[in-house]
Amino acid sequence: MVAVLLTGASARAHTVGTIFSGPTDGDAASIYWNPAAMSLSPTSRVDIVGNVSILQADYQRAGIDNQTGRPFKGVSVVAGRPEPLIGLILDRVYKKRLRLGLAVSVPSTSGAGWPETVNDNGATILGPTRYHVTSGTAFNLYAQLAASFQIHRVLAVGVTLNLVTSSVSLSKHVDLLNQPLITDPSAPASSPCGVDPSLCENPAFSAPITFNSTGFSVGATFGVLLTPIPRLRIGVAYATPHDVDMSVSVNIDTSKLEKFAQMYFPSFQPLNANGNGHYTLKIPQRVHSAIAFDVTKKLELMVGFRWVNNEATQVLSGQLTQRGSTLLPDTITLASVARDEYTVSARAAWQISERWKAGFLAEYTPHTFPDAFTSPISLDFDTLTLSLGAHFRARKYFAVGATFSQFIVFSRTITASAYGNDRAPPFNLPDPSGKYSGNAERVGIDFSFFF
Amino acid sequence: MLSLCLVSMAAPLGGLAQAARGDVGVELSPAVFPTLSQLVSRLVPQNFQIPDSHSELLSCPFGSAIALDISQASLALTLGSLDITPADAALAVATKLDLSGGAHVKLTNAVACLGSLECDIAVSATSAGLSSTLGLSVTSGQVAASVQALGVDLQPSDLHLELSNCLLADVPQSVVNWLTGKIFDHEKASLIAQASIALPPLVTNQLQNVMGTSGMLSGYAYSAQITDVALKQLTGMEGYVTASVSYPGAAMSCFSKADALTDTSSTGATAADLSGVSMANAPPAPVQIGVSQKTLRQALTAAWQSGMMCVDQAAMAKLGFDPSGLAAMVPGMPKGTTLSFTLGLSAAPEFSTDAQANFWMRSSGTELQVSLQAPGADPAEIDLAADISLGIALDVDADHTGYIRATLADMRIDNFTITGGKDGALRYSIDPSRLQVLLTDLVVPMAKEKLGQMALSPAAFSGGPALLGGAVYVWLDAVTARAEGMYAGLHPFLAPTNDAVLPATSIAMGPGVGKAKFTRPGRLSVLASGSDDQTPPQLMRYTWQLDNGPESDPAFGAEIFVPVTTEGSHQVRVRAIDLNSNRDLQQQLVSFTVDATPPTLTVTNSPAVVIHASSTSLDFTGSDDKSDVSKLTYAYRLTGAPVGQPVKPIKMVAPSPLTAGAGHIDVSDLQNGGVYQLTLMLYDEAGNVTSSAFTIAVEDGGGCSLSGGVAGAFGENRAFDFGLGMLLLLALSVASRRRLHE
Repeated sequence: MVAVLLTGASARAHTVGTIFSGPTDGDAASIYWNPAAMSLSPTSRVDIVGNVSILQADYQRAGIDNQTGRPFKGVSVVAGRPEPLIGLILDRVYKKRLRLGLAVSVPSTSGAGWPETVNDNGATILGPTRYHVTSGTAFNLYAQLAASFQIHRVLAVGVTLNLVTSSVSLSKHVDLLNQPLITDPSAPASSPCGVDPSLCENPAFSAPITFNSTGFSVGATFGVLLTPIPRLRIGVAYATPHDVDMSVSVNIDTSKLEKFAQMYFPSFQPLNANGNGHYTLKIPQRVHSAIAFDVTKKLELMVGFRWVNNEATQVLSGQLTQRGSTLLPDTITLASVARDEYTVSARAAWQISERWKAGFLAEYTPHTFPDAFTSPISLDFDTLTLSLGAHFRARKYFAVGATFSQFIVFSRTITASAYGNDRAPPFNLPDPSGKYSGNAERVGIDFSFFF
Repeated sequence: MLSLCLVSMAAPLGGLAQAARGDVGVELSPAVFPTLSQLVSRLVPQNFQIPDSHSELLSCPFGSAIALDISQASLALTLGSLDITPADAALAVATKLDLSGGAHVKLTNAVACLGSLECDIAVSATSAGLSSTLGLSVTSGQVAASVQALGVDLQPSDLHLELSNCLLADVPQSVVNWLTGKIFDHEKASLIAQASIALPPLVTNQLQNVMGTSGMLSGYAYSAQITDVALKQLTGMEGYVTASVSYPGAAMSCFSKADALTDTSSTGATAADLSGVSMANAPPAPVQIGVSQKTLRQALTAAWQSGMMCVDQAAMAKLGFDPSGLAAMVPGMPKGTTLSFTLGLSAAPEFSTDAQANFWMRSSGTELQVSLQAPGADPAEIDLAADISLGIALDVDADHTGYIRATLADMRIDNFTITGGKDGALRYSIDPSRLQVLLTDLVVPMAKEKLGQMALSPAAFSGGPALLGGAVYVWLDAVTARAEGMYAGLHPFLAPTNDAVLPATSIAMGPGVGKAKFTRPGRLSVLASGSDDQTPPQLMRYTWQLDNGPESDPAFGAEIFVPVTTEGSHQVRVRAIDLNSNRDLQQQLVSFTVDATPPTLTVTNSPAVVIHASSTSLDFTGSDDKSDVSKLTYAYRLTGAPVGQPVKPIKMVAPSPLTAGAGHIDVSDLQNGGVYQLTLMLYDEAGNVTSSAFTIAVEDGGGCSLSGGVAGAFGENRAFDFGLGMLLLLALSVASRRRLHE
């Protein structure tokens, strides 16, 4: 999971596979959740999953908008988030004790689309989230090669090679009056806006800035599956963290500044505020675990626990090695302070008939962004996810399934923030206090081919 | 030998009322009177002839039968010494004179029929003492002078009259000697009595003629009238002058857009402020001068009216400021763009002083006109107008440098407008209160630092009457302000007439002497020290020579600033020169290295941006291309605040040395939710600095925490959506089962 650009209704649960996927399930999603669980697949198979989450978030910023003298306009973001998976498991290698897997998935995708401008009494004004984010996307595309080996009837191990392509793009505004002016290290660091709050968020000095970055990294997942008795399965997997060297390009739209200058100096020339550089993105380590128990031949109960070590992935900081203008800073830093993510889940799967299987999954994930560090770009909620899914084995070699998830999102009201115009970078952004609320659903369809 | 003949002529005149005030005040302390005596003794003729001396000689008590014919008479006085000391409400003047003279004397005695006697007579007296006590006062411009005592220290034996070129000279010489002894005391007493009567009106008339003066000086009209002078035993002499300064021409406007020119010389001042200086408020010094707020205001207004405060392009060029160079530094400016500034005031600045020793100047309508010409484009122009208030306190480092330095007390901008574009319409304005904050927090600290480094005056002044060849030197002892005006304390000194002893030079502070041998490019400061048998240290002059360059002209001021720009090893030689231009033959050498390269700061353990504890630490190493690591120092500053609290400085640690080239910083007591900035600064010996800033956000962590922020519950639509989904899945399931069974 990328620790920046998290927004929307925190629809993070089960982004890979179906509700029947997990550390103790043998579909192609096990390549991601727990490669050792591939040993549970009775045949070679291909799984194609297409989930789409519809995310909505609302934000009512606290305070008065100095553009209008009235309270800030409420804003909303609605985004569709694809969560695809295509995976292959081969069981015809080494006496069926060795299985090989190949999967492509996008386990972490996020996006933001807060409006850059809003309408206030017929007038178009700049949106209240602009200094944190206006739009952006971040995703990690996983291409995974996996292998599992059934060491013993009760023990299987697996490993996955994770080839990760990451992309982060972000659009926001930068307050030109809230940039440190004094470079003398012995002088108090300050900016016009930091010294006098009434100078902050002046629309004439609100310059759009865009970041675009991509990178590639390699990691691994190690998994274990224990089957002490035939009806009990215990799966645990550990995914290593890895650093991604991201190449970033930055551009500041200085047209407003140029127009301002050209009011006085008509021949003032456009500024070239482009830059290129690098920063390191950390993909956090994680643990996936689950215990599944067949209560009867038709009913399976599963409880799961996931941990994502967000605490080490909270700030992106990089150097701009090529700058077209000294107006661009030589260092760019984005902050997203998050606690570790814990998810607990419980699932009941009912084999209705030979062909039909239905399931119910409940997951709970508390928010990871502390109140003080929550902002329109670093936003999540305490979320209870209720999912229903069904699989239909239409043919011996083909099955189809569907999933629906409802995210019950608990709104948050932030009253005190670590952000502020007088704070040190990268926290020198307007106080994002206010009420955040969200809503999300997910629908999905999946196809499985067995051979 | 001493036989002082004193005649008391008048009672002492009344002294100056304590409440006296004036536009300009001067007070001479008793300590300055020896210098004053030297000055007066050099100003008066050392030798002078008494005209018509034959009529003054020998008013002899002879009868009419004796005809005395004196011709070719001459009488000359030579000043041996002159001492003026303050007595009780009077001036005691003591002189030593040498007298010499001669005449051709023809004596005809018709009665005795002795015929005539004709001789040349020579008169001489050595070190004749002449002392007087003069009472002097000026009240409301009226001079009153009196001779309180007058004495002549001359005995008959000191007076020599020799006859020559006459018949039987021994005989008349004996007669003359006899007559001298008989009439000497009578003549001396008569002379003293006549002088005592004649001197007071003479002095009074002479002084009354110089009590007032007026005229033009450098284009300015001035008038001055001495109103009050008093002599006091303890304070010496105190005097006040009513003065005025004005500019007689038409007031000059800096800009065509300027508002109507206004004389603001009396704006904002109270009657008490303008009541004039009182020397009782002056700082102690041998000579104290006070100038009233009113006179200062008049001078400032006159300077403004004369256009002195209009700074145009040529004036800026003289200051070495190239605006076009500034244009090249601004992003977006086309190449070849020329930029010019003109600075002026549309109204005379208001000037005042306060009881806290501050000088205040408020300029209404300070205008800065910025003109810009880009190649092939129409000219553009911006006018910035502001009302600026500036308060400074002045101080003099009398013991070392003698320079006047200023400390910025306050700076305010009460109005600020920018007018731009061709039509000159008001396009943008900034709230003065916002600028006030900016000025207070950003501009004023920087201005304070820069102003404190500037020398606002020469270390000493020289001048004096042309008769002395400018041999009067003055150095400042103190400058201060009170509500009614400003005061300065001065030390006057007369250059020695003869001095063959060479001065000696030493270095009090400089590279390698109390300071590091490394310096940054810029101005190298060397504090020299000179000693001489006659010239005081404050009036020693110094020259400096950088490497093999030319030796500078001698200049006052022990603090020498040498411009150094080239990186590497250099030498500066300093030489002391006394007021008689005797030069120390041995220059003092200062070796130093210019280091323009900042030290290298390597952070080996940087604090995490987000921490989950109340403390963190930082480790680093330092190195430099020239300074030894043992000489590197580091400092750090911590600013920040917990959530909901304003940012403020929390800790500032002064520079301290590294340990074996490494340093460690522990930061503690950080509060949850706070965002802090830790700035680390590494300095080399030259003062070059490398810094690194770290942001530290404190989050107490604990991923299991579910606390905080849950303020609402899911809404009805969520339940509705969920129900719809369940129904949909159920319907799909039922439909599929039916189809399967079918």
